[in-house]
Amino acid sequence: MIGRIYWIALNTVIEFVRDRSVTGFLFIGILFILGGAVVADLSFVEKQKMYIDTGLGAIFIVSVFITLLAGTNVIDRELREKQALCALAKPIPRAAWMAGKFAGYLFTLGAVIFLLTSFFFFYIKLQVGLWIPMIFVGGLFIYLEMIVLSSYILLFSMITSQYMSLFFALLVLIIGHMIDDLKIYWASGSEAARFITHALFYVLPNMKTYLATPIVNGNIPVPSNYVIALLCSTTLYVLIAGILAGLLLNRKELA
Amino acid sequence: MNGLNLEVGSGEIYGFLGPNGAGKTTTIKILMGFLKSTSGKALLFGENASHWKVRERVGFLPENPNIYPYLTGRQALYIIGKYFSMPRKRILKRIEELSAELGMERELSLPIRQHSRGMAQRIGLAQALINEPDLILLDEPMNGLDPIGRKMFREAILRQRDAGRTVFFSSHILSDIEMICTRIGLLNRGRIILEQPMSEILNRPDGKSLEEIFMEKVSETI
Repeated sequence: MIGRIYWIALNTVIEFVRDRSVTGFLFIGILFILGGAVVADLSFVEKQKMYIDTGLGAIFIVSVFITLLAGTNVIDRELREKQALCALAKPIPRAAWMAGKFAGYLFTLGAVIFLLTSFFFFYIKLQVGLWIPMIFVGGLFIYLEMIVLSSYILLFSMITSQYMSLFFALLVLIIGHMIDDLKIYWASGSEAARFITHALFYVLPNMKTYLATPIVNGNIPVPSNYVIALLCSTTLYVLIAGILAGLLLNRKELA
Repeated sequence: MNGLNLEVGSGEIYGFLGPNGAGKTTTIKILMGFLKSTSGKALLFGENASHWKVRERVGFLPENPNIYPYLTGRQALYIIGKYFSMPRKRILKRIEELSAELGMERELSLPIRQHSRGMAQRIGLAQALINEPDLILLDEPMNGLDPIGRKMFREAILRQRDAGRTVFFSSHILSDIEMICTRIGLLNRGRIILEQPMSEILNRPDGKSLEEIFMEKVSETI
């Protein structure tokens, strides 16, 4: 079965590459990073900080776009356009098909983030004359955050339409970055408001934990147990979302 | 579907007829495990049709097949062969055999999104036959094909029968059904209203054609 999942994943990667929208995003990301020079030139002090802010910001924005647009499409479009019927008519369980599609998508997303991060790594050396390997930690954190967001998208795409998945994913991303603020609200407000804020706090991921810009800017060493904890929590999100999505897909009528 | 009772024997070419909305595609989708019946059983080779393992022995061509548009025909067939865990050599051999059998040299090297309707249908049939299945389910395979394409399809289906395989296909095109089927089932409003060997239909004492029988039976059940 692993072999079949591998071929589904490989096929997904090929489709993404040939579709050109992902390569288009890669190109836009490079332009954004180059554009950071303009912003950095406007700053007389902390030029390096400006480069890092704009560069990591560019990688983050492009990753969010790919996650929202390609992530909501990866399963949903194949089901909607009945392309999935061809693969699911083969001896492949639906959950394995979904795992292959998701793995292919995550690989593509990871490759784009890695390429952008590498470009940024060399570009910043060229501009400020410093090697900053912490940039790769920043790239890793952005990737992990996008994996968590993608897990939610995978789940949403099983229960609602592509556009609603995109909308809900955007909400997860925004609320996920403001999740600490929820604590302020649950101390006050009505009983119902407290219940909702509590529920959101425990159900939604805390996206702030993946924020790498201050770490990269301050060149602060990241404790290995922090990275391990982030990897474990990301894996947990993927597993839970994957299992639930697999169960929902098994029950889905492919009309 | 409504009380549908259907059994297809090994080595048959079973034509599944019916007007639009009769339930032909729904039946095929239940057999492929895409849809779940609210009651009753669907079995393939005596096993639950919705179980993925049973599809090792099945080839399926959906109506209007939509196969990976960015791959060439050869790449798509190779990957589909891998879905059956077929070894590389066997896949390549099968692609060559199918290419010769279905006349699709051009289709193999062109991306599928550039294929015409007939070319896409040929690749669709090739992907259904790549694993040399014991049972082939074809949903409206002749739709939109020109006479040459239909002839090619008929010949391909007859070759499958000669190789001892079972073919179950739905179609509106009665002349094709008359030419190749060993038995037909006429479906209307989710029920089988006529099931007969083709030889009996062709040799009826009243001399009625399949089209006349089709019109008569369908109008009786409206």
